Amino acid sequence: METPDKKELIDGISALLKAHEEPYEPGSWENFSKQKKGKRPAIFTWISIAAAIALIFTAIPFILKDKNIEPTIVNIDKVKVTPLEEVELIVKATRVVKQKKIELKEKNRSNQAMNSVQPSVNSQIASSSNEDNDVNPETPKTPEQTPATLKPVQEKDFMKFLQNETKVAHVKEKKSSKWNFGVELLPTVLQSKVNLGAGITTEFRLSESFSISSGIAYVALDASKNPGSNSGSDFAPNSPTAGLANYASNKRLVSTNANISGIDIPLSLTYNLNKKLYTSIGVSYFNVLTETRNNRYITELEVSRTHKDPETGIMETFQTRLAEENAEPSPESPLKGNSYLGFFNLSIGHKQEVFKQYNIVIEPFLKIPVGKLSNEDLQLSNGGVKLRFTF
Amino acid sequence: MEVKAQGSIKKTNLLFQDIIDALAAHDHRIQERIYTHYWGYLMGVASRYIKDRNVAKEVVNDSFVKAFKSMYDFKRPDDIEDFQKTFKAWLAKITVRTALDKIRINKSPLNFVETYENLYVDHVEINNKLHVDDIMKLLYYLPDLHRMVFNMYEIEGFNHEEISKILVIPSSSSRTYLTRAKQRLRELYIKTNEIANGNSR
Repeated sequence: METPDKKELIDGISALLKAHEEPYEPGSWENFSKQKKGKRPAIFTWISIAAAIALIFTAIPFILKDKNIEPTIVNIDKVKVTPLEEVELIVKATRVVKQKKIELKEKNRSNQAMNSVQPSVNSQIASSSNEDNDVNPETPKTPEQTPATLKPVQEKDFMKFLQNETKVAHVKEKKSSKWNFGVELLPTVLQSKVNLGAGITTEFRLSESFSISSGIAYVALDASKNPGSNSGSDFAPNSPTAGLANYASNKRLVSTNANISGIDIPLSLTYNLNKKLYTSIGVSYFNVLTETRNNRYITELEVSRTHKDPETGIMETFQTRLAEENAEPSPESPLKGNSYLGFFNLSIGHKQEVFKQYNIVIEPFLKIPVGKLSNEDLQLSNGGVKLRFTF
Repeated sequence: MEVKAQGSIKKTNLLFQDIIDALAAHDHRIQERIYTHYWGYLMGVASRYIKDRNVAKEVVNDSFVKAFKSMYDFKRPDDIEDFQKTFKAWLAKITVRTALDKIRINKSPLNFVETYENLYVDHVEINNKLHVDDIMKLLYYLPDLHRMVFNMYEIEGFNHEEISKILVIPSSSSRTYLTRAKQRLRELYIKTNEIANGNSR
């Protein structure tokens, strides 16, 4: 821990600190291995649950679209069994393929080609050595600065790793700000109808894996409902223009269409499965701005007409049924102004970096109504794909 | 003394031969020996960047987690000494990057405080023996960014281009910070010497 006298201070400090090692603290390894064992299962359990839920609920709208209930159950079971393994297998397989491609490329290259790659890999080391010589010629070189002493293959692997490390560091630097902002487009599928929404989002990074995201979006939903039964019938006696006549009308509600537009304010917890893939779970407050309902009725008229034949004096009765379809706006707007509407949101997303500092995000999502919305007669569960541009 | 030193070298070589064999066999049991062997060295590295000892310990543990994930990709080397140097330097670089990430998370962006006097000293000879604790105290007087640049350049062996990329600063700034850090260390060293001499008189 001590250096000889009459050395320049900076050289002395450098030599002293390079050689410095603290004594090992007993119990450090035990703590380290405890932490490792303690953390992993919880994280993996969480990942499994999040991935399973996200995959299940992302698949549901597409399955429902086909109006096939039986396969839904089958698919859910399948997804439940192996969601995470599939993701891991894909990642592993990709790695293996990439590695094999690199190995093949390296085999096919001539020695000359290898040499042309090697200087670029080590160019930083060369410049590092020069820098050292310029400013501080007596500074001992670190092992990375003396590549000539290493075998080419071993050195190449090592440098590759360090370069990857540097890349990783750069990605982190770019995202060193904990806040991310973005704009998004929300094509939403609701009962086979496509609606559009748009909004802005913000994300706050809690750690490397977790972040909280929020935002505000204008969403238009075109929902409908088929009651499937008679909602009511009216009988109204009226006087016909001629003779003795009666009619009975049967007014049947066939469907209700509602156009709802509102502001959706989500709050979600996002877990990054890796740099590109993430899952998100959360709730959103939905404030209905406008709501217009149209009821479509089929009115059936049963008409009977009785008249007396003037020649024979016999009473004759004619009966007929007239069906008429008509739509009329409903004065009701039960959702508008309700402040306790909301959705339960689930999604899984894929980020793709563009222009080095921006991301394009494709995020399939599912929204399930909670609170007041779930009790409404309209089926408002919807799904879609968010297209987001973040910066 | 020589016999003792030779014994130590033999022991180290044995450890590294075991490490090389374990890496080839993907044997996870070697992790404990690597951890206990390098913990002190990596604590030394982390402490140069992070004053809080508990945080430095976290950084060291995080670095070992990263290292244990990737070390099995090392190809079997022919020369133990080369491997020893490379492996040690690799662990140090991982620790430096982990420490920098930790600093970024705790206070972003890296702060810079200009508190230097206009005293310019370009060469100071060491009068007394240097002690790590004293030097660490002087280092902690430096602004974060200056201390990082000084550590990375003078001790870890990064060049200015690498530093500029890692710290996201221009390489000219890296050079300036290095010069100022050295100047400040010299000033502080002179001052502490003066105080020590004054007290001893």
